[in-house]
Amino acid sequence: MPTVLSSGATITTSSATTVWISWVSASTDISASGVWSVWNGSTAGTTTNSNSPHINYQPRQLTAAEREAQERRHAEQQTRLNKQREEEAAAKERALTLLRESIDAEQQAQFDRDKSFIVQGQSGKRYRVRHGWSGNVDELDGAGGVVARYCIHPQISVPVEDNMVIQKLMLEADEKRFLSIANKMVVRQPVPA
Amino acid sequence: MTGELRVLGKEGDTKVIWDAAKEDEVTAARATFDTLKKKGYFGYKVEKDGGKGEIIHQFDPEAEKIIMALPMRGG
Repeated sequence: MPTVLSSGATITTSSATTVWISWVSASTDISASGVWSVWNGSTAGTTTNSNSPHINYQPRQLTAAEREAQERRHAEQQTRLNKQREEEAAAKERALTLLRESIDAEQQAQFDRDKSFIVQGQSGKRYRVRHGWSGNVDELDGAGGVVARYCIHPQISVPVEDNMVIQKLMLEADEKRFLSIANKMVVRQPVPA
Repeated sequence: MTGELRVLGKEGDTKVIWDAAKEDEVTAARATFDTLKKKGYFGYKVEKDGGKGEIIHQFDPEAEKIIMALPMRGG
C-alpha cells in the first residue's frame, strides 16, 4: 500500500486510482489539493508537492461593498423577472379574452368543457382546435374521429390562445393556405359521414 | 361607428381604434393595416359576436373588428 502523508507534505503514490481510494477512505489527514495534484498529474510513480500556489486556491472573501453590489444585482434581476412574469400573465389574459370574443356560444361551451372547439372549414370539413401550440388541430371524419393532425403556428412566439384564434380564422376563411402551410400527419382513413 | 384593429403579437394583442366618421383616425388605422400587411400579416374582418371571419386585403373602415394575424409556419 502506498503511503499517503498529511496535508501539505509530499505525497507519493503509484497511481491516480490509489490516490482516489485514499481520498474517499476514512483518512482525515489528506488535503484536497494534495490529492488533486497527484490525480491530475502522471500516474507512473509521480511525486508531487502539494504546496504549489495554484492548487492552494481559496476563494477571496467579498468586501462589504462587493456584497452589497452583488445583492443589488440579484434584486434588479429578480425585479426584471417579476416584471416579465406579470407581462406574460397580462398577455395571456388579453389573448384569452380575444379568443372568447372570436368564438361563438357553442364553441365557448366546448372550450370551457375541454379546452377545444370545433371549426367548420371553407371546404365543409370539420376540425377540432385544441389548446396548444403545435400539432393541436385535428381533422375529423363524419363520425367525429381524428383522421389527420396539423401543425401550424405563428413564426414568433405568442400566447397559445392567439395561436388558436389565427388557426380558426384561417380554417374558416383561408383553408387552402392553412393546408398548404401546415405539416400534416395522417392518423387513419376517414369514416364516411 | 367605432371599429377596432387587433394586432396579435408577442405581448398579446394591441388595439387600434377608429371612428369611421373621423378621417384622421381612419387614416391612422389604415396606415397600421398597410404596414402590417407589408410585414406578412393577414387581415381578417370578424363580427363582434364571434362569427366567421373573412380575409380582407384592404383596410375596411366600416368593419367592426379586424384581426391582424401573424405570418404562420408549419410546425
